Amino acid sequence: MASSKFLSILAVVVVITSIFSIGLVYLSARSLFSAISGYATSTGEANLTVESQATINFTTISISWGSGRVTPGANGASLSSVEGTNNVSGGNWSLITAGGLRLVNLGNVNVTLNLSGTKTAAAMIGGTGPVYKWNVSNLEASSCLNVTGGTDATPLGIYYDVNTTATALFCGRFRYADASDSIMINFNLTIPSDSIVGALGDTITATALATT
Amino acid sequence: MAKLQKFVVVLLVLTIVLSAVSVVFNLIIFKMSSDNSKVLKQVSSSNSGNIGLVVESSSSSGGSGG
Repeated sequence: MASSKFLSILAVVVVITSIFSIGLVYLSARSLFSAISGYATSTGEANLTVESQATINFTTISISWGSGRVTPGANGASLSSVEGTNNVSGGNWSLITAGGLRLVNLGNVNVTLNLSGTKTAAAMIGGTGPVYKWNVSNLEASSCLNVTGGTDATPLGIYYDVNTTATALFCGRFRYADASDSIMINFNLTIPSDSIVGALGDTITATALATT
Repeated sequence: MAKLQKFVVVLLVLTIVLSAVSVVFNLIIFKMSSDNSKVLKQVSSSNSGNIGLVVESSSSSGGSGG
């Protein structure tokens, strides 16, 4: 008698569990079949996936001031890469490519943009009081924004010492929209009269990481 | 009594089978969403530029002292 009662209770429990399982299977199957590409509903459905791709590229990859020297008697020379300005004072260098290094976001996703150099002012230029600075500015308006899409956290157009110890975040959001996907990196150098002689230079690496 | 026992056993087997099917379906869904996240995975890009100049020596303008 007791076992009969136990069996009855068990039967009820098993029935409830079975109904629950049927519901689970139904929901799972519905999710699965709706996710399968090519599954046709009564209205038809076509699926495709656009892959995100982060690609940045320097459109101006090299800046050179050519060959020159500090004006005799001067303490040093100032060199700039900014377009349309007097790029050299206190020396006879001549800027070959004006307008800075130019970087474009060729991908289809917003990215963060970090920059790094490999040399400090002292290592690249040497002498007394060398200066090696860079700044980032928009080539196309609103290309370089902060993470939330507002004005950039690192103010644009301001010169900072080139960062060699770690990559510096310049754009929390470097946009990919065609009308707003280009920036320029300008440089300001001071070559003291007792600087290193010969070919001086540095490599600037831009690193982008796709964001949502 | 025997019929009830048989009914419970059948229901138990049915429940186990249904649960297994549900688990398999969910595993497939998980795998598909995992693949999808790979397609949409964040990617990175790196590119380099150069700056350079040449500092001429001024030795031509100076003489050596005796």
